[in-house]
Amino acid sequence: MVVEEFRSFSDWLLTEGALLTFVFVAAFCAVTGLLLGFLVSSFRHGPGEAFYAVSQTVFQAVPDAFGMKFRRIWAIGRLAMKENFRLFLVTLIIFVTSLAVAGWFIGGGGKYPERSYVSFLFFAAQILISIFAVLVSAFSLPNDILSKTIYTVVTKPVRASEVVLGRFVGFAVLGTVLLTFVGALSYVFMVRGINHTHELSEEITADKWLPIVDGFTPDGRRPFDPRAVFESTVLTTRNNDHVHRIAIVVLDDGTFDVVADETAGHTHSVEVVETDPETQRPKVVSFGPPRGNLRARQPIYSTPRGDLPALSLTDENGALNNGVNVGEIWDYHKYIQGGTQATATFRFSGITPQRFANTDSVNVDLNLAVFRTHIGDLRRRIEAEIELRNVVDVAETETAQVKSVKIPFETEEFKVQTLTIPRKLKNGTIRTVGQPDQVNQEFDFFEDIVPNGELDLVVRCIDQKQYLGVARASIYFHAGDSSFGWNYLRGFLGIWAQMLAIIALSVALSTFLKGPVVLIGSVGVIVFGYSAKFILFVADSVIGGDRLADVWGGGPTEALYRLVTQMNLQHPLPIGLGSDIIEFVDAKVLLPGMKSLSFAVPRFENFNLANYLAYGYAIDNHMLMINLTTAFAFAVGMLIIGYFCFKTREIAAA
Amino acid sequence: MVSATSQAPAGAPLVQTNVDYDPNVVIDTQNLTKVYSDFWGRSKVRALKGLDLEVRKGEVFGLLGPNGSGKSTTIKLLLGLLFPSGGRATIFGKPTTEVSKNERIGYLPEESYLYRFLTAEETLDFYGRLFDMPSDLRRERAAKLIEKVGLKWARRRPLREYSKGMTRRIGLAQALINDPDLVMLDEPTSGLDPLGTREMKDLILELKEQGKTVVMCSHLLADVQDVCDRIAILYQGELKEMGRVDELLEVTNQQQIRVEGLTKDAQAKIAEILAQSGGKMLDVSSPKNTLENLFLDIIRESQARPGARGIIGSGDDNGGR
Ligand SMILES: Nc1ncnc2c1ncn2[C@@H]1O[C@H](COP(=O)(O)OP(=O)(O)OP(=O)(O)O)[C@@H](O)[C@H]1O
Ligand SMILES: [Mg+2]
Repeated sequence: MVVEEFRSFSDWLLTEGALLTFVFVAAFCAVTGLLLGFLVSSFRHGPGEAFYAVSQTVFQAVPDAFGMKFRRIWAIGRLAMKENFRLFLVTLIIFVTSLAVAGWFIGGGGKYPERSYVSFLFFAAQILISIFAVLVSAFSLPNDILSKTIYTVVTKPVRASEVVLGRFVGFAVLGTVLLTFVGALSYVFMVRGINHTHELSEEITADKWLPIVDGFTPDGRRPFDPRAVFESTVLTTRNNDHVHRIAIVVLDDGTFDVVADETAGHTHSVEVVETDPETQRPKVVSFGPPRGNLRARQPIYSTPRGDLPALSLTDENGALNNGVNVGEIWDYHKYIQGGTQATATFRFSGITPQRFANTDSVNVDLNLAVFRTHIGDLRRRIEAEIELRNVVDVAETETAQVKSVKIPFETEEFKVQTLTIPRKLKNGTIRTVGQPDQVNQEFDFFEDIVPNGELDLVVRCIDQKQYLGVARASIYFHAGDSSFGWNYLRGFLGIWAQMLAIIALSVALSTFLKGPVVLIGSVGVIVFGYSAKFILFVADSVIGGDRLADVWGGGPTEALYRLVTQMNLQHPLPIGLGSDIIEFVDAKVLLPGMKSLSFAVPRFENFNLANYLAYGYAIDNHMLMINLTTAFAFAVGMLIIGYFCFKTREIAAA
Repeated sequence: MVSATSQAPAGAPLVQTNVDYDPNVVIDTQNLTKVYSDFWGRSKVRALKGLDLEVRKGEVFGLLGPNGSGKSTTIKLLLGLLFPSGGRATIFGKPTTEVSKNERIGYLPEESYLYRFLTAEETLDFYGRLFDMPSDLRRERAAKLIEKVGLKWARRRPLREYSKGMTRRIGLAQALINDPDLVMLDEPTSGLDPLGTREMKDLILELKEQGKTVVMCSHLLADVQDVCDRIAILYQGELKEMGRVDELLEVTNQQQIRVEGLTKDAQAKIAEILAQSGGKMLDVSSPKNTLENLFLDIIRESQARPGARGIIGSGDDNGGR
């Protein structure tokens, strides 16, 4: 999975300036709101009166905030729920129908069936919940005002804050219930869709026993290497659009295991039900449920250590560099050259025995990219090695013993490859300054390599003229898996956060706009939020003025001009007043405006955490916290705006 | 009644003060003006022009006037549903935009604006919650009011199935859910059957008996005449007449005498006295006009002579306006 952002919550809040942005946006909104209120009011009643009215409104916000009563908020919330119960049912029915339809075309046959499931289900849930959220909240208040039912409500001791918050609460509760249903249904749908077993496609007879394959891992331990079973010709039945090959793997203690190969991202446990009395060979076997599809790996990624980055690369001479450019623009990997001293060093900390439940082996997962400059031996994989090295205190460099051990491996491209590192390591080296190396040492991984939880992991590519691509997320220690169901729930928390943001947005807009306008406005803001990154990108390059270097086609006005005149993107605008105006509007008015606005709107794409699930990773806590905080902060801001708009609205004048 | 007319022009400060709050004055408006404007702030309709009004505790006050004369506008201004364009208004000494005043007010809108997907019980429960009433009190009040407005048989049906009069009744129940001190009824009898009208009138009198203040507008003048202590007549946003109903309807230049058991002699004597002063005895009493006649007279006069009219009993001739 592409993890491009490693952000901790506190970094995001403070260093990246999320808090500052919030304060700034809030202050800006407050000042703009006061000014706007003052202008409108003085236009109607004159400046003196306007000043009085504005300050009155501001001061009344205090009792309106603290005088809120839960019973009233909940009464309004309940009403909002009752009002939209039908839409709730309709949405649920649509979702169930879409599941039924999806069942026809999402099979278990792809390479990673869970990816198609998760991406479809999250897409459907996100779209459906968003539409639901916008629809319920866009029309409720405007309809209430239009049908004048609001008259009987606001002539009760109900505060404007309660009307706005009550609606939000009602929709949020209704949406949460809907999301719970959607989440539970989709989870069951996916688990049931993925769950299956097989049978043997043919009976095992005396002239066709299960083949015995060489299936040891390098250290002779389980788990066996499932690739070995590729050789087998005994197949299972075709279920969920795939078959497994099965074979016997003999273990080093003389016992054997019947195994199924890894297809569609999983294997099955195979149990021998009946053996041939004469030869003791398995005759009847049964298959367990699939293993490996629905995972939630908990990675421990490399982290910066002091001034040193989490990952640093050296070139063939050992000098720090930024990796080799292999000419693939969109590739986020950095490449090291094979057959040289070029290295990639990952710095880890927090590798403690507790975290690994004191097991006698530790897993390192690799997601390496390979760039071949020549075909080489196609059946062979690129050879590489990792070196594990303890980290010594800089002050003790003179006396410290640097212990390291090298583990060679063959790379597997396009999949997560797991290296199992035994706790007892052989062939280690101890290097002390001014002394000859001590080789052939035996180490205990936890005691010798990571006594302080820290270690350096150095990657080298062994094959000459081949390149190995690494990124920070390429190599991580794999402490274990958390429950997939729990992870799925956390994924839905992302959608939930997005739902809250959308509801608050639409409720706020509905305090002063008509229903259909709210609908368009909300969708506009959401689309804007989704494209905020792109807008920033365009804005920065156009405002900077160096347009040719960056974005083809310029800002919105220029793009519109090109669209209408069907002008090629690369063709420069004709020189003259017209293009000056276009450039001025884009670079000085529109794009700076859009850029500032983009800070007030959540980046909606961040709410989608489906990738974590699809690729089988536990959702990062920090990411989740960032999402929830963003949504809450945005919602609170929107509700405050909504309150002031509703408070100053002359209800019966509509 | 109304203290010196404030001469502030429209657009004057909306300053609300309650330094001279008199607990017996429930509603007080001074020079209350409403101009409906469009989106751009251009004025469209001058719906209310400089209304001075004072409603005292325990009164049943009627607002009369032809369609579009500004009655509903007045009530909405008092409730804070509209913001005044000029002048000021207080209820219980509080500005009309103050939420807490609503604790003591019941409002029946011109049409019953209620949630059609709720049943009668749910409706009253909902409004009870808005008064932050605990659930047992809500249940008790709701049951009593549903009984009172005669909807017990339909209390579990959603309002979308209700007839106009039924909706009106539940609307009334809704207005009384908080046992208000001030009840504002915008055309309370519209849509009601004769029995309902009768009950409504009885209810208003009952409220009066309990010391509550009632402000109502209605087109059924006979009903107004029956229940109102004082009335104000609006025409095109202007106050045309205000005073006690019995005073307004008294024909002061005629007397009516009705006697029983008068001897022929005495009759002759009275006739003689009358003859001496040039009169001729018909019947001695003060005859009552009907409100209908008074109303039509005022409207006709206003149509013939636009502008302000002297107002009986307002203690001020409003000549300046
Ligand atoms: N929301 C509004 N926007 C513009 N003008 C309005 C609005 N509401 C009322 N008016 C105008 O204000 C004037 C007074 O209306 P109002 O509803 O107060 O009359 P009313 O006395 O209650 O009449 P009725 O007896 O028909 O109920 C009318 O001319 C009406 O057209
Ligand atoms: Mg009216």
